[in-house]
Amino acid sequence: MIAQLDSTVARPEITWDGLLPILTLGVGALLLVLFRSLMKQLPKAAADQAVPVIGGVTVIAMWVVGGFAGTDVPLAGLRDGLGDPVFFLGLLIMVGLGGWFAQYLRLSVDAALTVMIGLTSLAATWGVWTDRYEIDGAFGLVGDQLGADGFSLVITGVIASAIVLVALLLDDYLEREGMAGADMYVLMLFSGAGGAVMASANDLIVLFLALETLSIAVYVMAAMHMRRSESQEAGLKYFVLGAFSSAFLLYGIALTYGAVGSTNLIVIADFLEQNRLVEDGLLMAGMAMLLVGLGFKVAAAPFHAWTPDVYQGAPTPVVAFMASAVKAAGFAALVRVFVTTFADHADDWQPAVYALAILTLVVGSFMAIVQRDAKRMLAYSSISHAGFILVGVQAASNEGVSSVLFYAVAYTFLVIGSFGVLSIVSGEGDRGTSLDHLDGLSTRRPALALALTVFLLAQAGVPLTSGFVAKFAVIGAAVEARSYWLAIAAMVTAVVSAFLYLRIILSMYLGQAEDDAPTIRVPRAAGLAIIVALVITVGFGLVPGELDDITRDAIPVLIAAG
Amino acid sequence: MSHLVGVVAVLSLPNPRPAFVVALAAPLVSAAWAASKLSGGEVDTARLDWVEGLDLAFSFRVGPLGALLAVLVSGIGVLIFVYGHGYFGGGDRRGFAATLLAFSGSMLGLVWADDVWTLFLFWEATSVTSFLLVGTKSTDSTAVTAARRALLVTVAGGLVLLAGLLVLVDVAGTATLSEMGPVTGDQATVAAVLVLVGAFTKSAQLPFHVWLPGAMAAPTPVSAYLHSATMVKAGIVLIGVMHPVLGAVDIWSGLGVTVGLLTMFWGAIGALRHADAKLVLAWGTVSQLGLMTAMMSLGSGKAIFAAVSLVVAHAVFKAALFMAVGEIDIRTGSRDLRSLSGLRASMPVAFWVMVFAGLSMAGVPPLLGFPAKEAAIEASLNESGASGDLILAGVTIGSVLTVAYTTRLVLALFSDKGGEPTEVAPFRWAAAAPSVLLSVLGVVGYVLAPSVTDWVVPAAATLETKSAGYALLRWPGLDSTAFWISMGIVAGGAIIGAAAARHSSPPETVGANNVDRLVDRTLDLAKWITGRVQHGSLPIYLVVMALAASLAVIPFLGSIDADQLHAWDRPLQAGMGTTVVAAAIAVAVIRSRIGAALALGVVGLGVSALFLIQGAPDLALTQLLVETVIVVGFVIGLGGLTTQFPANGFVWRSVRIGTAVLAGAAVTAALLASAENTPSNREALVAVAVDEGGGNNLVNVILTDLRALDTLGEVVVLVVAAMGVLALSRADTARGGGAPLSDDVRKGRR
Repeated sequence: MIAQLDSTVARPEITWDGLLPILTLGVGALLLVLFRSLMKQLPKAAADQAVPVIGGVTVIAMWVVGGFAGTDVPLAGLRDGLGDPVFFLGLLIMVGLGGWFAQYLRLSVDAALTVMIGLTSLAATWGVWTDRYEIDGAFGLVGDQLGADGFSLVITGVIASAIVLVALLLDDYLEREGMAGADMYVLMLFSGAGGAVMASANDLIVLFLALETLSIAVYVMAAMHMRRSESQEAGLKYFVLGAFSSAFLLYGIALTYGAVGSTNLIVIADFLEQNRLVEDGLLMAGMAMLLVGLGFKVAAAPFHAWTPDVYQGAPTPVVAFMASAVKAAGFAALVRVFVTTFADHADDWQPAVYALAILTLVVGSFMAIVQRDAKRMLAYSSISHAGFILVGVQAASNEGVSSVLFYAVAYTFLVIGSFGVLSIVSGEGDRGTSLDHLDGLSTRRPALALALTVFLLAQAGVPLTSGFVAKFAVIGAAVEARSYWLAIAAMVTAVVSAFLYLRIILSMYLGQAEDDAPTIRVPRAAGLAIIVALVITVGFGLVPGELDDITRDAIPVLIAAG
Repeated sequence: MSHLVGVVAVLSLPNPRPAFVVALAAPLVSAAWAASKLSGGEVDTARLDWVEGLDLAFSFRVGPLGALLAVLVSGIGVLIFVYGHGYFGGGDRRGFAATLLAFSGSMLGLVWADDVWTLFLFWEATSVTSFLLVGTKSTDSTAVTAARRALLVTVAGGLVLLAGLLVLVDVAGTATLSEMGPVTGDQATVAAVLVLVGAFTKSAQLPFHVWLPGAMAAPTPVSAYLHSATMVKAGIVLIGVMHPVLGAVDIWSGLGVTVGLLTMFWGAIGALRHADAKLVLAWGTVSQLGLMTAMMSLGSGKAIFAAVSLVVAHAVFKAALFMAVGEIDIRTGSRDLRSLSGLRASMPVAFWVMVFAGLSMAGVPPLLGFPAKEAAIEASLNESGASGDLILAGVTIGSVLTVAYTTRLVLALFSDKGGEPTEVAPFRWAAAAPSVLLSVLGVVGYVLAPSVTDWVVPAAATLETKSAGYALLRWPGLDSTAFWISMGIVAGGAIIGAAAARHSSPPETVGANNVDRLVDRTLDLAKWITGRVQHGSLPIYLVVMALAASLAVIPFLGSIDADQLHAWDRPLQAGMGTTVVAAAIAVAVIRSRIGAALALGVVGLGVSALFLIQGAPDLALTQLLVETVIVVGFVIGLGGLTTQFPANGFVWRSVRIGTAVLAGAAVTAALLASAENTPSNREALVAVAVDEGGGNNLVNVILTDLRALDTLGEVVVLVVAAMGVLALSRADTARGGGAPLSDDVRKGRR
């Protein structure tokens, strides 16, 4: 914008239709607040009456917003659709089904609204992808401050899916812990919107603000369980360390600005492509600080220390959100800034990422195997997964980026499924997360045990699950980039981690449950979330071709409006 | 395919009784199909693209070798299911039968694979399913340990193999086995070593053999299957299918033959030392695998032919031996060579099975083992030079010991030890019939050696065309050197074996403990690291993070250009700078909280004064506002805390001061190292401020106009923060708060 020196000030192009996926999340959060403050006076029974209506509205909202997204003609789909009686009838049936299903799941109003917003955003993402991205390629949003490319769309889709699934998990959890209310959902939607902006950011300042939106909401979500001191401890630790890392990130942005003269990723990339810096100390320091800040967000060692404590303390569904959406957004930012923007300086940052990746892999896998607490184990394992994704980042190639995307998508569903099962098993107050509580789960709840087994096998990278294809793609990218040692390190630590997953599986199948073990109730909504995660995990494992094509189409590009 | 259906069928059986009977249908079908392919000579292929982008595909190719191995895998599989029915008697064994079936299916996939990734997938599948099979007696801790050990060795080997295959595909340019041509060069050597090591782990070659005897904790049907026709043969098959590709690499045959012969020797020694009949067989398997590895990697036409013949013969007699020992085990409750007595009279069927199968293992005519071993000896005779002599010597010594431990096993197991004969449970047909059939097959195979040749030769010829001219000879003739060597081996071995049957040294598992200890050590190490690194203290995390970030500055310490630096532009800057530094130090040393907050405010004021001196009054003004708000915030926030900071220990205080100084130094260094590259944007900003923004305060114009979107973003962040605070306070009041904080949090608040 600084470049626009014309006396007539150009009006930036907003491109509302392309912005819809993000807008739905952000505005949805505000609407949820508004709706709940209006509904507050209503008795609970009356509020529950609204649930089937919300279910029906969800279908309509998905159809309208999804149809609008990516096209300039508002309500075009609406006009055409209503003219066709068969279509209209089908829509009516879908609306009815949506209402019935929401009722069947016994969702609370807040959860139902959140699911609605998440699904609508997903539909909008799909609309932008098919109606615009696949036809015209990437395009800029809000005066090129944001960019809608395949990469940001996939990550936005991942975040929206995570919101839907976590909302399903949260519904019963909040009821069980006596925390019912809209706060958690609102924060999650804000956080998701921040994540989506982060994945689309074309400017370091925008990226930073999005990261703050994402993070602040998550800090609070981690601390929301007021009766558990661990939860408060988790929130405080996450907040202090997160603020610290944000400072690094901001400092990195400042240094980069000093070196290049802009915070705009497009300008930075162009500048670095056309100029060779004689003295690049400032840029190096800037990149290092950016790496520290983003490394913290994705829990790369040695900036991982918060992960086990926070994951263990925070409410389990929130952990599922942190491990899926927050991590995906963090990696999106990492890829956008380093792989795409600093592409011409790959030789400079690759060694650093190489070292981070190895350290992360080793720390994540070795420290996981000695834990006694399943939640903590999975926290460490999420660190080692971050290491795997870093292996893909390190490749600094298109193969690397698509393997990162594949991994992020696969891992999102895996980890939500895993923590979903844990959330159900752990019972009131999240107490039962140690391995002993999983003893004999196969006899108490065979279906849950089977689901967790599949998720864990997928995390271990066993063939015919999405986890295998993800690991294969990442290692393939590393080999292509001739990072042989990194590939070997990744494989060795994968074996070490396999023991961890095996331990959990063994205790589920071979351990003996105590006689007074509490019965485990599986709420319908959470059950649905786990089933969805399971189907996707196995589905992408058996037929990964489709997702692989998508991730290959979704290379981030930095585009400036002509 | 039929196996997949079989697994589902067995698992969905309503009644557990007929599990094994249903399960055997699948291998029966594939055995029959493979048998029909045996003499046909045509090649069937099937390909299923899985992930095109990653070049992953399921690709199968069933030629003569695939058919022969499939007949072994499935044929013996059928017998194992029959045997399993007898061995287990009753009880719900659906899960077990299904796992066994899955294992057998994986093995078929492995021998049919025509794509290295397909091969690898099934290779890993056999590891995992065999782990489940070995760990079947899951309440037994030795079984679990043994299963863990087997999985550790084979999975680690699998990864080595994967690395080897990645390199190999890189050299060969294709992942399809039938399209690969011979490769040589440095990269091929690396691939060869990695692939061989992978094969060694699976086929229990020195020093990876430790998992195999431990795996004897498994039920006997598993041992009989895994160590005769399947699992352990995977490595041999791998060496075989890689022979056309990597056989030309120098190190290939040298490494393979050396390790193979050493394993043959060491395995035989192990078999002589043990008193548990099943362990004797296990060590015997290690030894036999050594011979096969040596022959397969030797790579001459005769050697490959010998290796394939040995694979066939070994599958037949070893399965029979295991089954007989298992039968003795379930009917007497013991496998101890020293205590069992009088079995020759009480278990005649088992006795004769052991005798026939044992003779076949020893390589005595008229049994199938004889012509196979003859082929091996001839292959060694064909090698010339010193290495040839060494190979011949190795094979001969190994074979003598093989005869010896076989003799010892049969003699000791069935001799009368004096005292009461061991009590024997009733005879079970299902448990005995398969072993009888297999031991009879040993004789039949000898009689029909020409037919067996017709199957083995085309199979061996797919690996090495020079194998085509050979045949299994029933009677090589008295003028054959190999025959006399062979007879000498039998005689020598029998004498040693008969002597050894009288003495049994106490067994000791050399090596296996090392693997277990390695696992334990790793766990201890991991525990130690975790204890050190993950202590839960927030300040320490912060220190670690700051240190790690400071390290990032080191690379450009060198680029500081001292000539460019000068102390100050105006003396006033020096004064202000000193004030800032002094106030910063004061923040660190003042004990009173409110004093520290005020000192921090002085730092901020000093910085804004520096801005002012630099000529940026609008920036200074903004900084001033921010500082004021922060100080006010501190004063309000500190109300709830004690007025003084708590005292810290000297060491901890020093560490924190050190870290802070280091971080400061790092930042300073980074700034000093960087020269200004780009012209300042200031002029451009000033130029647009009035025209576009309509304002004279540059900071204000930036906030409200030039970067208004960012300001909107800031507002959003504030909204989220406000909502967060609101949500937290609401949650707190709703529950009355007051939950005790843990120690770490209190520490963190200091």
